Amino acid sequence: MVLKTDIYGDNALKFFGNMTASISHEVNNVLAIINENAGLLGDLCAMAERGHPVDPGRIKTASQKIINQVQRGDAIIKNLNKFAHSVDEPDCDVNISDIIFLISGLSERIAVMRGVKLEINEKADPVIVTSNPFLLITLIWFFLDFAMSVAGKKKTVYLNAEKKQDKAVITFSNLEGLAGIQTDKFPGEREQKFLTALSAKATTEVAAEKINILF
Amino acid sequence: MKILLVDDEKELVSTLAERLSLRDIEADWVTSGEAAITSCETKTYDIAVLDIKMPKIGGIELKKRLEEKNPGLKYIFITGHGSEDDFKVASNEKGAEYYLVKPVNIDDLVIKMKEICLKKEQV
Repeated sequence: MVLKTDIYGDNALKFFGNMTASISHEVNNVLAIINENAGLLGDLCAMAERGHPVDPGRIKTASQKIINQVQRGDAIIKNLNKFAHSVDEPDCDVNISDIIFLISGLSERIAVMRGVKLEINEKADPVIVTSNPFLLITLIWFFLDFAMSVAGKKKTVYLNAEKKQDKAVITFSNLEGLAGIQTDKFPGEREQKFLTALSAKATTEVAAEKINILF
Repeated sequence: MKILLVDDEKELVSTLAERLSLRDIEADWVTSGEAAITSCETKTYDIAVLDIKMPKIGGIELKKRLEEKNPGLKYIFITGHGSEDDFKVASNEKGAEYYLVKPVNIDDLVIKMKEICLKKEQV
């Protein structure tokens, strides 16, 4: 428990801060698009009031864009809410497939900014482990952050969770740049602390361009 | 007055361009720094409105690249980041004419664009 309290410190807080800053930026973009399209509807109304003909198609397009952004914002807020509630329980049954889906959503803006696409299997079977949800999310983010940095020219990172024999395995694959990294560089001390706290271990398959977390 | 809008959010720049056109302001829009550089090679603009945070080439870096070949071009930065005070300092240091925080008020944007053009004419 002392170890867990310790690693909740700087690294986890920094992760929480980075993630919420990125999400707030994305929410702001959603609001900005709604603002412009609501403004456009106002402009078109003003035109109509002045007696100028207004194409109904323009109104339809603007209102559809608002609906699309409300749906986008709703998805972002739902992810943020799940992320915030990940600190509620210290240990519980967690579906890793859901966690990967959540992290992929949370990281979307960061990935776009880094020119990387994240691919997950949205219909993956549930993979249940008993773990601390927030520490687990933080650990997976550290690995995803590294995976994006070694995505190479392929620029697409695949995330997958599956049950292999008695182990739950999270795989980050298509990591073209993994070959250029010294194997002792990753996982580093920070990741090792989280792996130990979660009774997990990491493996690297350079030729297969994969890194795995095993529970 | 001819404007280039640059933001990686397509739905934002396209709508902003449409709203500017309703105000008789000609505005082209692109969604990346690379596309902005290409546009400036073939067309002449009075003002480039640049989002600070974009993939690959952000607004500040884009301004540096554009000003090499477009000495008369003026810049307005827009961003969703940070407090207005922080951003004011950052913008002044980088030499933008103005900065605006998202969501942008179009009337403020148009006023600033007209001020920039007036200044250019006076010079």
